[in-house]
Amino acid sequence: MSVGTLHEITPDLVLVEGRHPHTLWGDPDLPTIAVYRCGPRLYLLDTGVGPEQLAAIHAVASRHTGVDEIVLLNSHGHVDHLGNNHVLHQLPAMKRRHHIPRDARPALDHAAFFAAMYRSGLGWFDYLAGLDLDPDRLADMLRTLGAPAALTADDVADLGSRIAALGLPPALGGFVPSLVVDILLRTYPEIHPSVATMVDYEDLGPAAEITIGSTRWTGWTFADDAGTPEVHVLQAAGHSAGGVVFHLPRARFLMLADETSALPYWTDSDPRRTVETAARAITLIDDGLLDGICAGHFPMLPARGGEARARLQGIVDTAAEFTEAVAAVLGAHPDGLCIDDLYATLVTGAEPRSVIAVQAGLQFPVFATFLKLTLLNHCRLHGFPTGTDAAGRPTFRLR
Amino acid sequence: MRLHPDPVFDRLLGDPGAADPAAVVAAGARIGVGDLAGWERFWRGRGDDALRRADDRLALDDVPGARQALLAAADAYGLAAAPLPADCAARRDNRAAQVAAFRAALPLLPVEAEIAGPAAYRFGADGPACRVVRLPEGVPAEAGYVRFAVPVLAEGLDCLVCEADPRTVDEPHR
Repeated sequence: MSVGTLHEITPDLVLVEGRHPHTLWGDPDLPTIAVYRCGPRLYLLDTGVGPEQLAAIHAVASRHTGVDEIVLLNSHGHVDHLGNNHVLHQLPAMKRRHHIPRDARPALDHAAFFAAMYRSGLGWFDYLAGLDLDPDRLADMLRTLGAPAALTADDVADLGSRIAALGLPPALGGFVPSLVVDILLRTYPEIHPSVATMVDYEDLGPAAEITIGSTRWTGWTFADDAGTPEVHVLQAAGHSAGGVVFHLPRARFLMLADETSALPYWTDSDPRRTVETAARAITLIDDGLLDGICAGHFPMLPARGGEARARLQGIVDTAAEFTEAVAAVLGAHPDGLCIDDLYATLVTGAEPRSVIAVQAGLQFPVFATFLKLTLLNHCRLHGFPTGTDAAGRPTFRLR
Repeated sequence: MRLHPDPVFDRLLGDPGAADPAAVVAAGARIGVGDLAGWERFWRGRGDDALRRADDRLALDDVPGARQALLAAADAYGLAAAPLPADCAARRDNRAAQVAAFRAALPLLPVEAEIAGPAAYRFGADGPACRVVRLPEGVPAEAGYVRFAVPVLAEGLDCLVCEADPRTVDEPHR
Protein backbone atom coordinates (compact mmCIF):
# COMPACT_ATOMS: atom_id res chain seq x y z
CA MET A 1 0.00 0.00 0.00
CA SER A 2 1.46 3.34 -1.04
CA VAL A 3 0.65 6.60 -2.76
CA GLY A 4 -1.03 6.01 -6.09
CA THR A 5 -1.97 2.41 -5.34
CA LEU A 6 -5.18 1.59 -7.20
CA HIS A 7 -8.18 0.01 -5.46
CA GLU A 8 -10.71 -1.31 -7.97
CA ILE A 9 -14.15 -1.10 -6.40
CA THR A 10 -15.86 -2.02 -9.66
CA PRO A 11 -14.39 -2.13 -13.17
CA ASP A 12 -15.64 1.45 -13.56
CA LEU A 13 -14.73 2.83 -10.14
CA VAL A 14 -11.10 2.98 -9.08
CA LEU A 15 -9.75 4.69 -5.96
CA VAL A 16 -6.27 6.19 -6.00
CA GLU A 17 -4.72 5.82 -2.58
CA GLY A 18 -3.28 8.79 -0.73
CA ARG A 19 -0.91 8.84 2.19
CA HIS A 20 -1.26 9.51 5.85
CA PRO A 21 1.75 11.51 7.00
CA HIS A 22 3.98 10.37 9.83
CA THR A 23 4.71 13.91 10.93
CA LEU A 24 3.83 17.47 10.03
CA TRP A 25 7.18 18.03 8.38
CA GLY A 26 8.10 14.55 7.20
CA ASP A 27 5.77 14.09 4.24
CA PRO A 28 2.65 15.67 2.77
CA ASP A 29 -0.85 14.63 3.70
CA LEU A 30 -2.37 13.18 0.52
CA PRO A 31 -6.02 12.20 0.19
CA THR A 32 -7.48 9.17 -1.49
CA ILE A 33 -9.31 10.24 -4.68
CA ALA A 34 -11.52 8.47 -7.23
CA VAL A 35 -11.84 7.95 -10.97
CA TYR A 36 -15.28 6.84 -12.16
CA ARG A 37 -16.34 5.88 -15.68
CA CYS A 38 -19.98 6.27 -16.55
CA GLY A 39 -21.07 5.99 -20.17
CA PRO A 40 -19.05 8.39 -22.31
CA ARG A 41 -17.91 10.38 -19.27
CA LEU A 42 -14.92 9.98 -17.01
CA TYR A 43 -15.47 11.58 -13.61
CA LEU A 44 -12.50 12.67 -11.54
CA LEU A 45 -13.53 13.05 -7.90
CA ASP A 46 -10.70 15.32 -6.69
CA THR A 47 -7.21 14.97 -8.09
CA GLY A 48 -4.88 14.80 -5.07
CA VAL A 49 -1.37 16.17 -5.11
CA GLY A 50 1.97 15.19 -6.57
CA PRO A 51 3.34 13.07 -9.38
CA GLU A 52 2.34 9.66 -7.99
CA GLN A 53 -1.34 10.47 -7.87
CA LEU A 54 -1.18 12.27 -11.21
CA ALA A 55 0.41 9.22 -12.81
CA ALA A 56 -2.22 6.99 -11.23
CA ILE A 57 -5.04 9.10 -12.70
CA HIS A 58 -3.42 8.77 -16.13
CA ALA A 59 -3.04 5.01 -15.64
CA VAL A 60 -6.71 4.58 -14.84
CA ALA A 61 -7.83 6.89 -17.62
CA SER A 62 -5.76 4.94 -20.15
CA ARG A 63 -7.85 1.83 -19.42
CA HIS A 64 -10.89 3.49 -20.93
CA THR A 65 -11.63 4.05 -24.57
CA GLY A 66 -14.52 6.04 -25.98
CA VAL A 67 -14.40 8.77 -23.35
CA ASP A 68 -15.97 11.91 -24.79
CA GLU A 69 -16.03 14.06 -21.70
CA ILE A 70 -13.92 14.58 -18.59
CA VAL A 71 -15.89 15.85 -15.60
CA LEU A 72 -13.67 17.05 -12.75
CA LEU A 73 -15.58 17.46 -9.50
CA ASN A 74 -13.75 19.03 -6.55
CA SER A 75 -15.10 18.27 -3.09
CA HIS A 76 -13.80 21.43 -1.43
CA GLY A 77 -11.07 24.01 -1.76
CA HIS A 78 -8.18 22.54 0.21
CA VAL A 79 -4.96 22.18 -1.75
CA ASP A 80 -4.43 18.50 -1.07
CA HIS A 81 -7.56 17.70 -3.10
CA LEU A 82 -7.05 19.89 -6.14
CA GLY A 83 -3.29 19.93 -6.69
CA ASN A 84 -3.46 17.84 -9.87
CA ASN A 85 -6.43 19.61 -11.42
CA HIS A 86 -4.29 20.32 -14.49
CA VAL A 87 -4.87 16.69 -15.44
CA LEU A 88 -8.13 18.01 -16.88
CA HIS A 89 -6.11 19.47 -19.76
CA GLN A 90 -3.90 16.41 -20.17
CA LEU A 91 -6.49 13.71 -20.70
CA PRO A 92 -7.87 13.25 -24.23
CA ALA A 93 -11.55 14.16 -24.55
CA MET A 94 -13.89 16.25 -26.68
CA LYS A 95 -15.42 18.08 -23.73
CA ARG A 96 -14.21 19.06 -20.30
CA ARG A 97 -16.11 20.32 -17.28
CA HIS A 98 -14.84 21.35 -13.88
CA HIS A 99 -16.88 22.24 -10.81
CA ILE A 100 -16.22 23.35 -7.23
CA PRO A 101 -18.47 24.57 -4.41
CA ARG A 102 -18.81 28.36 -4.42
CA ASP A 103 -18.20 28.62 -0.67
CA ALA A 104 -14.90 26.78 -1.14
CA ARG A 105 -13.38 29.49 -3.33
CA PRO A 106 -11.79 31.52 -0.51
CA ALA A 107 -9.55 28.52 0.20
CA LEU A 108 -8.05 28.76 -3.29
CA ASP A 109 -5.79 31.54 -2.04
CA HIS A 110 -4.42 28.81 0.16
CA ALA A 111 -1.43 30.54 1.74
CA ALA A 112 -3.47 33.50 2.96
CA PHE A 113 -6.47 31.32 3.79
CA PHE A 114 -4.63 28.88 6.01
CA ALA A 115 -2.50 31.59 7.56
CA ALA A 116 -5.66 33.38 8.66
CA MET A 117 -7.10 30.12 10.01
CA TYR A 118 -4.02 29.26 12.02
CA ARG A 119 -3.61 32.78 13.36
CA SER A 120 -7.22 33.05 14.47
CA GLY A 121 -6.27 31.97 17.97
CA LEU A 122 -4.03 35.00 18.52
CA GLY A 123 -5.42 36.98 21.40
CA TRP A 124 -7.38 33.96 22.62
CA PHE A 125 -4.69 31.61 23.87
CA ASP A 126 -0.97 30.93 24.16
CA TYR A 127 0.06 28.65 21.29
CA LEU A 128 3.14 27.26 23.06
CA ALA A 129 1.84 26.67 26.58
CA GLY A 130 0.89 23.05 27.16
CA LEU A 131 2.42 21.62 24.00
CA ASP A 132 4.57 18.49 24.28
CA LEU A 133 7.64 19.87 22.54
CA ASP A 134 9.64 16.68 22.56
CA PRO A 135 13.28 17.67 21.87
CA ASP A 136 13.88 14.59 19.73
CA ARG A 137 10.89 15.35 17.56
CA LEU A 138 11.83 19.01 17.26
CA ALA A 139 15.42 18.13 16.42
CA ASP A 140 14.14 15.80 13.70
CA MET A 141 11.95 18.59 12.33
CA LEU A 142 14.75 21.13 12.34
CA ARG A 143 17.14 18.74 10.61
CA THR A 144 14.52 18.13 7.93
CA LEU A 145 14.13 21.88 7.49
CA GLY A 146 17.85 22.43 6.97
CA ALA A 147 19.51 22.38 10.39
CA PRO A 148 22.85 20.54 10.55
CA ALA A 149 22.59 16.76 10.67
CA ALA A 150 24.66 16.86 13.85
CA LEU A 151 21.91 18.74 15.72
CA THR A 152 20.80 16.56 18.62
CA ALA A 153 17.81 16.38 20.90
CA ASP A 154 20.09 17.50 23.73
CA ASP A 155 20.99 20.60 21.71
CA VAL A 156 17.32 21.39 21.28
CA ALA A 157 16.59 20.70 24.94
CA ASP A 158 19.39 23.06 25.95
CA LEU A 159 18.04 25.72 23.63
CA GLY A 160 14.53 25.23 25.01
CA SER A 161 15.78 25.58 28.57
CA ARG A 162 17.57 28.80 27.67
CA ILE A 163 14.49 30.21 25.94
CA ALA A 164 12.33 29.33 28.95
CA ALA A 165 14.84 30.80 31.42
CA LEU A 166 14.82 34.09 29.53
CA GLY A 167 11.01 34.16 29.59
CA LEU A 168 10.77 34.22 25.80
CA PRO A 169 7.88 31.79 25.12
CA PRO A 170 5.13 34.48 25.31
CA ALA A 171 7.07 36.55 22.78
CA LEU A 172 7.59 33.59 20.45
CA GLY A 173 4.22 31.85 20.77
CA GLY A 174 2.45 34.24 18.43
CA PHE A 175 4.71 33.20 15.57
CA VAL A 176 4.02 29.47 15.93
CA PRO A 177 0.92 29.46 13.67
CA SER A 178 2.84 31.21 10.89
CA LEU A 179 5.63 28.69 11.31
CA VAL A 180 3.20 25.80 10.88
CA VAL A 181 1.71 27.30 7.72
CA ASP A 182 5.16 27.83 6.25
CA ILE A 183 6.17 24.24 7.04
CA LEU A 184 2.96 22.94 5.49
CA LEU A 185 3.44 24.91 2.31
CA ARG A 186 7.07 23.89 2.09
CA THR A 187 6.34 20.18 2.38
CA TYR A 188 3.75 20.14 -0.38
CA PRO A 189 4.51 19.33 -3.99
CA GLU A 190 3.65 21.90 -6.63
CA ILE A 191 -0.08 22.71 -6.81
CA HIS A 192 -2.02 23.01 -10.09
CA PRO A 193 -5.58 23.98 -9.13
CA SER A 194 -6.70 25.07 -12.64
CA VAL A 195 -8.74 27.94 -11.26
CA ALA A 196 -9.54 29.21 -14.76
CA THR A 197 -11.66 26.13 -15.57
CA MET A 198 -13.63 26.10 -12.31
CA VAL A 199 -17.37 26.64 -12.48
CA ASP A 200 -19.37 26.79 -9.27
CA TYR A 201 -21.84 23.96 -8.71
CA GLU A 202 -24.23 26.77 -7.84
CA ASP A 203 -23.95 28.04 -11.41
CA LEU A 204 -25.65 24.82 -12.54
CA GLY A 205 -28.70 25.99 -10.61
CA PRO A 206 -29.71 26.13 -6.98
CA ALA A 207 -29.01 23.02 -4.93
CA ALA A 208 -31.98 20.68 -5.34
CA GLU A 209 -33.47 18.31 -2.82
CA ILE A 210 -32.24 14.80 -3.52
CA THR A 211 -33.91 11.81 -1.93
CA ILE A 212 -31.92 8.57 -1.69
CA GLY A 213 -33.87 5.81 0.00
CA SER A 214 -35.15 7.28 3.24
CA THR A 215 -32.47 9.98 3.36
CA ARG A 216 -32.87 13.53 2.11
CA TRP A 217 -29.99 15.65 0.90
CA THR A 218 -29.44 18.79 -1.13
CA GLY A 219 -27.08 19.09 -4.07
CA TRP A 220 -26.70 18.52 -7.79
CA THR A 221 -27.21 15.47 -9.99
CA PHE A 222 -24.97 14.62 -12.93
CA ALA A 223 -27.07 12.33 -15.12
CA ASP A 224 -26.83 10.52 -18.45
CA ASP A 225 -28.82 11.58 -21.51
CA ALA A 226 -31.82 9.61 -20.25
CA GLY A 227 -31.77 11.47 -16.95
CA THR A 228 -30.51 8.52 -14.92
CA PRO A 229 -28.20 9.77 -12.14
CA GLU A 230 -24.51 9.01 -12.52
CA VAL A 231 -23.13 11.12 -9.67
CA HIS A 232 -24.95 12.88 -6.87
CA VAL A 233 -22.95 15.82 -5.52
CA LEU A 234 -24.36 16.20 -2.02
CA GLN A 235 -23.85 19.22 0.22
CA ALA A 236 -22.21 18.41 3.53
CA ALA A 237 -20.12 21.41 4.70
CA GLY A 238 -19.02 19.77 7.93
CA HIS A 239 -15.28 19.66 7.32
CA SER A 240 -15.07 23.01 5.54
CA ALA A 241 -17.21 25.64 3.89
CA GLY A 242 -19.07 24.32 0.87
CA GLY A 243 -17.74 20.76 1.22
CA VAL A 244 -19.56 18.04 -0.72
CA VAL A 245 -19.62 14.24 -0.85
CA PHE A 246 -20.09 12.11 -3.96
CA HIS A 247 -22.75 9.40 -4.15
CA LEU A 248 -22.36 6.99 -7.04
CA PRO A 249 -25.71 5.18 -7.22
CA ARG A 250 -24.73 2.61 -9.85
CA ALA A 251 -21.65 1.60 -7.86
CA ARG A 252 -23.59 1.87 -4.57
CA PHE A 253 -20.64 3.83 -3.21
CA LEU A 254 -20.18 7.04 -1.23
CA MET A 255 -16.97 9.04 -1.57
CA LEU A 256 -16.84 11.20 1.53
CA ALA A 257 -13.76 13.25 0.66
CA ASP A 258 -12.92 15.14 3.87
CA GLU A 259 -16.44 15.19 5.24
CA THR A 260 -15.44 12.91 8.09
CA SER A 261 -14.05 15.51 10.48
CA ALA A 262 -15.67 14.91 13.84
CA LEU A 263 -13.94 17.93 15.38
CA PRO A 264 -13.83 21.58 14.24
CA TYR A 265 -10.21 21.73 13.13
CA TRP A 266 -10.90 24.72 10.88
CA THR A 267 -12.70 27.97 11.53
CA ASP A 268 -15.26 27.05 8.87
CA SER A 269 -15.82 23.47 10.14
CA ASP A 270 -19.19 22.41 11.54
CA PRO A 271 -18.97 18.84 12.86
CA ARG A 272 -22.71 18.84 13.53
CA ARG A 273 -23.10 18.66 9.76
CA THR A 274 -20.44 15.94 9.53
CA VAL A 275 -22.47 13.92 11.99
CA GLU A 276 -25.61 14.46 9.90
CA THR A 277 -23.76 13.19 6.83
CA ALA A 278 -22.45 10.14 8.69
CA ALA A 279 -25.91 9.39 10.08
CA ARG A 280 -27.45 9.58 6.60
CA ALA A 281 -24.76 7.26 5.26
CA ILE A 282 -25.45 4.77 8.06
CA THR A 283 -29.12 4.87 7.11
CA LEU A 284 -28.21 4.14 3.49
CA ILE A 285 -26.18 1.11 4.60
CA ASP A 286 -28.99 -0.09 6.83
CA ASP A 287 -31.45 0.42 3.97
CA GLY A 288 -29.28 -1.76 1.76
CA LEU A 289 -28.57 1.08 -0.67
CA LEU A 290 -24.87 1.54 0.02
CA ASP A 291 -22.18 -1.12 -0.23
CA GLY A 292 -19.05 0.87 0.42
CA ILE A 293 -17.50 4.14 1.51
CA CYS A 294 -14.14 5.80 1.33
CA ALA A 295 -12.84 9.19 2.43
CA GLY A 296 -9.89 11.35 1.71
CA HIS A 297 -8.20 10.58 4.99
CA PHE A 298 -10.42 8.58 7.39
CA PRO A 299 -11.06 5.94 6.23
CA MET A 300 -8.37 6.35 3.64
CA LEU A 301 -8.93 2.85 2.28
CA PRO A 302 -12.33 1.66 1.09
CA ALA A 303 -14.56 0.08 3.71
CA ARG A 304 -17.61 -2.06 3.19
CA GLY A 305 -20.52 -3.41 5.19
CA GLY A 306 -20.00 -3.59 8.92
CA GLU A 307 -16.60 -1.97 8.80
CA ALA A 308 -18.01 1.00 6.87
CA ARG A 309 -20.83 1.30 9.35
CA ALA A 310 -18.39 1.16 12.28
CA ARG A 311 -16.25 3.89 10.73
CA LEU A 312 -19.29 6.12 10.30
CA GLN A 313 -20.52 5.41 13.80
CA GLY A 314 -17.05 6.26 15.05
CA ILE A 315 -17.43 9.75 13.58
CA VAL A 316 -20.72 10.21 15.40
CA ASP A 317 -19.32 8.87 18.68
CA THR A 318 -16.13 10.93 18.52
CA ALA A 319 -18.03 14.15 17.90
CA ALA A 320 -20.32 13.40 20.83
CA GLU A 321 -17.42 12.51 23.13
CA PHE A 322 -15.63 15.76 22.32
CA THR A 323 -18.75 17.87 22.79
CA GLU A 324 -19.55 16.20 26.10
CA ALA A 325 -15.99 16.57 27.39
CA VAL A 326 -15.97 20.31 26.70
CA ALA A 327 -19.45 20.77 28.14
CA ALA A 328 -18.48 18.93 31.33
CA VAL A 329 -15.54 21.24 32.01
CA LEU A 330 -17.31 24.47 31.05
CA GLY A 331 -20.35 23.37 33.06
CA ALA A 332 -18.17 23.05 36.13
CA HIS A 333 -16.99 26.65 35.66
CA PRO A 334 -20.14 28.77 35.35
CA ASP A 335 -18.11 31.98 35.42
CA GLY A 336 -16.30 30.88 32.30
CA LEU A 337 -12.86 29.59 31.38
CA CYS A 338 -10.22 30.92 29.03
CA ILE A 339 -9.06 28.56 26.28
CA ASP A 340 -5.70 27.98 28.00
CA ASP A 341 -7.44 26.83 31.20
CA LEU A 342 -10.08 24.84 29.33
CA TYR A 343 -7.30 23.02 27.48
CA ALA A 344 -5.26 22.40 30.63
CA THR A 345 -8.27 21.05 32.52
CA LEU A 346 -9.30 18.77 29.67
CA VAL A 347 -5.81 17.41 29.01
CA THR A 348 -4.98 16.89 32.67
CA GLY A 349 -8.13 14.87 33.26
CA ALA A 350 -8.17 12.97 29.97
CA GLU A 351 -8.25 9.18 29.95
CA PRO A 352 -5.47 7.68 27.79
CA ARG A 353 -7.74 6.64 24.93
CA SER A 354 -10.10 9.58 25.07
CA VAL A 355 -10.56 11.90 22.14
CA ILE A 356 -8.90 14.68 24.13
CA ALA A 357 -5.80 12.58 24.87
CA VAL A 358 -5.50 11.44 21.28
CA GLN A 359 -5.95 14.93 19.87
CA ALA A 360 -3.48 16.39 22.37
CA GLY A 361 -0.92 13.74 21.43
CA LEU A 362 -1.27 14.32 17.70
CA GLN A 363 -1.16 18.12 17.63
CA PHE A 364 1.85 20.25 16.71
CA PRO A 365 4.66 19.30 16.43
CA VAL A 366 3.31 15.89 15.33
CA PHE A 367 0.62 17.14 12.97
CA ALA A 368 -0.55 20.57 11.88
CA THR A 369 -3.34 20.94 14.43
CA PHE A 370 -3.66 22.74 17.73
CA LEU A 371 -6.16 21.38 20.21
CA LYS A 372 -6.59 24.88 21.62
CA LEU A 373 -7.59 26.15 18.18
CA THR A 374 -10.06 23.28 17.85
CA LEU A 375 -11.52 24.19 21.26
CA LEU A 376 -11.79 27.85 20.25
CA ASN A 377 -13.55 26.89 17.01
CA HIS A 378 -15.92 24.68 19.00
CA CYS A 379 -16.80 27.41 21.49
CA ARG A 380 -17.39 29.95 18.72
CA LEU A 381 -19.38 27.50 16.61
CA HIS A 382 -21.73 26.81 19.50
CA GLY A 383 -22.03 30.50 20.33
CA PHE A 384 -20.94 30.11 23.93
CA PRO A 385 -21.16 33.48 25.70
CA THR A 386 -17.84 35.21 26.24
CA GLY A 387 -16.41 37.11 29.16
CA THR A 388 -13.08 38.04 30.68
CA ASP A 389 -11.23 36.46 33.58
CA ALA A 390 -9.26 38.20 36.32
CA ALA A 391 -6.14 38.12 34.17
CA GLY A 392 -7.96 39.84 31.33
CA ARG A 393 -8.10 36.73 29.15
CA PRO A 394 -11.24 36.09 27.08
CA THR A 395 -13.40 33.29 28.47
CA PHE A 396 -16.29 31.08 27.38
CA ARG A 397 -19.13 29.71 29.48
CA LEU A 398 -21.87 27.28 28.57
CA ARG A 399 -24.83 29.66 28.94
CA MET B 1 -12.32 7.09 21.15
CA ARG B 2 -12.13 4.22 18.69
CA LEU B 3 -8.75 3.91 17.05
CA HIS B 4 -9.69 0.99 14.83
CA PRO B 5 -12.98 -0.73 13.93
CA ASP B 6 -11.41 -4.12 14.62
CA PRO B 7 -11.83 -4.71 18.38
CA VAL B 8 -8.53 -6.59 18.70
CA PHE B 9 -6.54 -3.92 16.85
CA ASP B 10 -8.41 -1.19 18.73
CA ARG B 11 -7.37 -2.65 22.08
CA LEU B 12 -3.74 -2.99 20.98
CA LEU B 13 -3.57 0.56 19.64
CA GLY B 14 -5.01 1.89 22.88
CA ASP B 15 -2.17 0.56 25.00
CA PRO B 16 0.22 3.39 25.78
CA GLY B 17 3.75 2.76 24.62
CA ALA B 18 6.53 4.37 22.72
CA ALA B 19 4.87 4.00 19.31
CA ASP B 20 4.54 7.23 17.39
CA PRO B 21 0.96 8.50 17.83
CA ALA B 22 0.88 9.37 14.17
CA ALA B 23 1.65 5.73 13.37
CA VAL B 24 -1.26 4.67 15.55
CA VAL B 25 -3.61 6.83 13.53
CA ALA B 26 -2.04 5.68 10.28
CA ALA B 27 -2.66 2.07 11.32
CA GLY B 28 -6.28 2.89 11.95
CA ALA B 29 -6.60 4.40 8.51
CA ARG B 30 -4.77 1.77 6.51
CA ILE B 31 -5.38 -1.67 7.96
CA GLY B 32 -8.65 -3.45 7.39
CA VAL B 33 -10.65 -5.36 9.96
CA GLY B 34 -9.09 -8.77 10.57
CA ASP B 35 -6.15 -8.09 8.24
CA LEU B 36 -3.52 -9.77 10.40
CA ALA B 37 -0.96 -9.90 7.60
CA GLY B 38 -1.42 -6.19 6.88
CA TRP B 39 -1.12 -5.40 10.58
CA GLU B 40 2.08 -7.41 10.91
CA ARG B 41 3.61 -5.82 7.78
CA PHE B 42 2.68 -2.31 8.93
CA TRP B 43 4.15 -2.57 12.41
CA ARG B 44 7.21 -4.59 11.36
CA GLY B 45 7.91 -1.85 8.81
CA ARG B 46 7.55 0.79 11.50
CA GLY B 47 9.96 -1.19 13.70
CA ASP B 48 12.52 -1.47 10.90
CA ASP B 49 12.21 2.27 10.23
CA ALA B 50 12.77 3.04 13.91
CA LEU B 51 15.86 0.80 14.04
CA ARG B 52 17.36 2.66 11.08
CA ARG B 53 16.57 5.93 12.83
CA ALA B 54 18.29 4.66 15.96
CA ASP B 55 21.42 3.77 13.99
CA ASP B 56 21.46 7.25 12.47
CA ARG B 57 21.15 8.89 15.89
CA LEU B 58 23.79 6.65 17.46
CA ALA B 59 26.20 7.56 14.66
CA LEU B 60 25.82 11.18 15.77
CA ASP B 61 26.06 10.37 19.49
CA ASP B 62 22.46 11.54 19.94
CA VAL B 63 21.63 9.35 22.91
CA PRO B 64 18.08 10.62 23.61
CA GLY B 65 17.20 10.33 19.95
CA ALA B 66 18.58 6.80 19.73
CA ARG B 67 16.79 5.79 22.94
CA GLN B 68 13.45 7.06 21.69
CA ALA B 69 13.91 5.29 18.38
CA LEU B 70 14.87 1.96 20.00
CA LEU B 71 11.89 2.10 22.35
CA ALA B 72 9.64 2.93 19.40
CA ALA B 73 11.12 -0.04 17.51
CA ALA B 74 10.52 -2.39 20.45
CA ASP B 75 6.96 -1.16 20.77
CA ALA B 76 6.30 -1.52 17.03
CA TYR B 77 7.66 -5.08 16.91
CA GLY B 78 5.58 -5.92 19.98
CA LEU B 79 2.47 -4.60 18.26
CA ALA B 80 3.35 -6.61 15.16
CA ALA B 81 3.54 -9.80 17.20
CA ALA B 82 0.66 -9.29 19.59
CA PRO B 83 -2.38 -10.49 17.58
CA LEU B 84 -0.57 -13.38 15.84
CA PRO B 85 -1.06 -17.03 16.87
CA ALA B 86 1.48 -18.34 19.38
CA ASP B 87 2.87 -20.92 16.94
CA CYS B 88 3.36 -18.42 14.14
CA ALA B 89 6.94 -17.86 12.95
CA ALA B 90 6.26 -14.18 12.32
CA ARG B 91 5.19 -13.79 15.93
CA ARG B 92 8.42 -15.37 17.17
CA ASP B 93 10.51 -13.20 14.84
CA ASN B 94 8.79 -9.99 15.90
CA ARG B 95 9.03 -10.87 19.58
CA ALA B 96 12.74 -11.56 19.13
CA ALA B 97 13.14 -8.20 17.43
CA GLN B 98 11.20 -6.54 20.25
CA VAL B 99 13.49 -8.06 22.86
CA ALA B 100 16.62 -7.14 20.92
CA ALA B 101 15.52 -3.53 20.39
CA PHE B 102 14.51 -3.06 24.00
CA ARG B 103 17.72 -4.56 25.34
CA ALA B 104 19.70 -2.30 23.02
CA ALA B 105 17.89 0.64 24.59
CA LEU B 106 18.70 -0.40 28.18
CA PRO B 107 22.12 1.28 28.39
CA LEU B 108 20.62 4.45 26.91
CA LEU B 109 17.78 4.82 29.41
CA PRO B 110 17.96 7.81 31.78
CA VAL B 111 17.96 5.39 34.74
CA GLU B 112 20.04 2.36 35.51
CA ALA B 113 18.50 -0.77 34.05
CA GLU B 114 19.35 -4.43 34.09
CA ILE B 115 17.98 -7.77 33.00
CA ALA B 116 16.65 -9.31 36.19
CA GLY B 117 15.63 -12.71 34.90
CA PRO B 118 14.28 -14.45 31.82
CA ALA B 119 11.23 -12.17 31.75
CA ALA B 120 11.99 -9.33 34.13
CA TYR B 121 13.83 -6.02 34.22
CA ARG B 122 14.92 -3.84 37.11
CA PHE B 123 15.01 -0.06 36.74
CA GLY B 124 16.57 2.40 39.18
CA ALA B 125 19.81 3.05 41.05
CA ASP B 126 19.36 0.24 43.59
CA GLY B 127 17.66 2.65 45.99
CA PRO B 128 16.12 1.82 49.36
CA ALA B 129 12.68 1.02 47.96
CA CYS B 130 11.65 -0.99 44.94
CA ARG B 131 8.15 -1.60 43.72
CA VAL B 132 7.52 -4.94 42.05
CA VAL B 133 5.10 -4.71 39.14
CA ARG B 134 3.66 -7.99 38.00
CA LEU B 135 2.51 -7.32 34.45
CA PRO B 136 -0.96 -8.23 33.24
CA GLU B 137 -1.18 -11.62 31.59
CA GLY B 138 0.17 -11.59 28.05
CA VAL B 139 2.11 -8.34 28.42
CA PRO B 140 5.80 -8.96 27.71
CA ALA B 141 8.37 -7.53 30.11
CA GLU B 142 9.75 -5.30 27.34
CA ALA B 143 6.44 -3.46 27.24
CA GLY B 144 6.54 -2.77 30.96
CA TYR B 145 9.00 0.13 31.00
CA VAL B 146 6.91 2.90 29.48
CA ARG B 147 3.58 1.75 30.87
CA PHE B 148 4.56 0.80 34.39
CA ALA B 149 8.16 1.53 35.36
CA VAL B 150 8.25 5.19 34.30
CA PRO B 151 5.38 6.21 36.63
CA VAL B 152 6.97 4.28 39.51
CA LEU B 153 10.38 5.86 38.89
CA ALA B 154 8.70 9.27 38.91
CA GLU B 155 7.70 8.55 42.50
CA GLY B 156 11.35 8.10 43.41
CA LEU B 157 11.15 4.34 43.70
CA ASP B 158 13.06 1.63 41.87
CA CYS B 159 10.92 -0.71 39.83
CA LEU B 160 11.07 -4.39 39.00
CA VAL B 161 8.74 -5.42 36.19
CA CYS B 162 8.13 -9.09 35.58
CA GLU B 163 5.76 -11.02 33.40
CA ALA B 164 2.64 -12.52 34.95
CA ASP B 165 3.53 -16.02 33.92
CA PRO B 166 6.78 -16.33 32.00
CA ARG B 167 5.93 -19.85 30.94
CA THR B 168 3.01 -18.60 28.88
CA VAL B 169 5.06 -16.01 27.01
CA ASP B 170 7.30 -16.66 24.04
CA GLU B 171 10.97 -16.77 24.97
CA PRO B 172 12.82 -15.99 21.75
CA HIS B 173 16.58 -15.84 21.97
CA ARG B 174 16.61 -15.81 25.75
